[in-house]
Amino acid sequence: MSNDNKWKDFPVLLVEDNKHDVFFIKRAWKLHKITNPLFVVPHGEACLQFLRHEGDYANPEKFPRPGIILMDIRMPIMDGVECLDILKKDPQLKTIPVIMLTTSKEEEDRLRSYQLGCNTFIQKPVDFENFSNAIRNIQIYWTMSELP
Amino acid sequence: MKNEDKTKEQLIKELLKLRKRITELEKSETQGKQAELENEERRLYLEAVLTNAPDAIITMDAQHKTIMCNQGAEELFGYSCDEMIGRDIDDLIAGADKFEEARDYSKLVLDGKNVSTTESVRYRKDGSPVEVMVAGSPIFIDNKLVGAVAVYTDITDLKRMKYEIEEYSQELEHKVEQLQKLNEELSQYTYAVSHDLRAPLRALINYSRFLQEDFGDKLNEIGKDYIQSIAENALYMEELVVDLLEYSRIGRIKPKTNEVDLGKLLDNIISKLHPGDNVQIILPPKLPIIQGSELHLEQIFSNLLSNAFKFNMTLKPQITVECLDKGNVWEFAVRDNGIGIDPKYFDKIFRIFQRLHTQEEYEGTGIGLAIVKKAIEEQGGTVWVVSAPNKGSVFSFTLPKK
Repeated sequence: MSNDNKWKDFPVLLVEDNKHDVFFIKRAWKLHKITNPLFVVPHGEACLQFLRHEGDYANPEKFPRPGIILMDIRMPIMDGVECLDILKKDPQLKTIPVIMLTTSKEEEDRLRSYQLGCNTFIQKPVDFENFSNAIRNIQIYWTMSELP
Repeated sequence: MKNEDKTKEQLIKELLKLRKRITELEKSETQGKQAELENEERRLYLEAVLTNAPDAIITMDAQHKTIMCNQGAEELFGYSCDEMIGRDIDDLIAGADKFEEARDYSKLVLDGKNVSTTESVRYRKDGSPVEVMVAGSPIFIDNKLVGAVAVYTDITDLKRMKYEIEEYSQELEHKVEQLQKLNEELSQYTYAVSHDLRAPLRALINYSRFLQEDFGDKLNEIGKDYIQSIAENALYMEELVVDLLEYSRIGRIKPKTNEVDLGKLLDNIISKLHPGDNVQIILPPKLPIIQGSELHLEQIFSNLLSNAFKFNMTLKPQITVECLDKGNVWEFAVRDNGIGIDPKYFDKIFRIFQRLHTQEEYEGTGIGLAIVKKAIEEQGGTVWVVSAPNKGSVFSFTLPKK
């Protein structure tokens, strides 16, 4: 795995308000021994602040630009769809790959129809094993894609 | 004697001539009378037509004075013919507000112009307004304009009906708007169910897993059973929510119609279903490419196929898919050698939440065949079943080619 180092360099930003889902993702991180730092923000607005180094996230040393964003859809204050729309219109931020965490096929279809330009979808399965496999797939996806 | 004879002969000849002439004259007199009679008949006929016409018909001379009017005019405007004849009709029925308009209209007609019919209001003798359609046309005799004819049609009923139709269509539009709103609400509701209801379920399932994984060695068998039951029930509820969403999705969202390669679709479905090595699924050598919604077709075949090997106690479940070209429609059949269904339950099985077995016998949510029926009907087809206990089942359905 010659790309291992490259992968290890990038932090991951998780935009998720449900603390249980955050816990599941952290557990998947541990299970697959993923060493990338995982940052968590609770909604779209916080996500934008994090990326633009505003408010609580002003320090770029402490809150570095992520190599990938995992984004929930339904969140308070600013949902995932609105946040993604803003991200993809921002020339500074639009190059960061975004993976949307969906809960159903229907939601996925609906998101596709918006043509928001997110990179991929992961359905949040009820089955933890499937979910952690999906996280593992992100790792593979990542190592294969040419990131800036 | 000879001369006398001659004269006699001549006289007879003259007489015959005269007689012939008389006959001719008599004949022509009868013909004349007949012509007169015919003319009278025609006149009466025309008068009857005029009298019995349902519209008000008024003729006027070139100076706009009424010459003749029919019964319809008397009935519509409440004036007798005597009152109208000799008068300018607009003075009687046009009223103050429509007088100018009526006058302009008459003027155009009496100028020999062709004027299109117009909707207006005229007034009865008692002053009450009546909505009318006015048609005017000049009368020419030997290319000379001698006057005009005006026809007034009472359109009160027509206007009322038009108004009622407008009211109904507005009401209908309003109802459609309401329904669209309700549909939108329902859409958001099911969305909320799919997201918000499933989040705690996901947590329940995962935490019971973690409990088993991390603390399983600290629990006795009863404790492990309890946790297993929590996980199983949460998973079953998740299944119910997913199936309900699928069911509601069929009617709610109009899926796109595409060309669907059934051969490919069935291969995909079968590999997703993981039927097990003992299950034999026989497909027709060639499946058509049809016009339809891929989403619906997947729901139909996936549910029928999984039922076919789920409700099957044999060691070698065998499922045959058939496809017949019936002209306007495709007819499909999914045939199995499973447990079969008592004909008295044929209607019941297609209804939502109807199950013929306990969860212990056969797992399921009781939504699958309801989804199948709804999806087939949404595609314009029909579904039916032929079966008997222990004799296997054949689920058949049609899909229009369109």
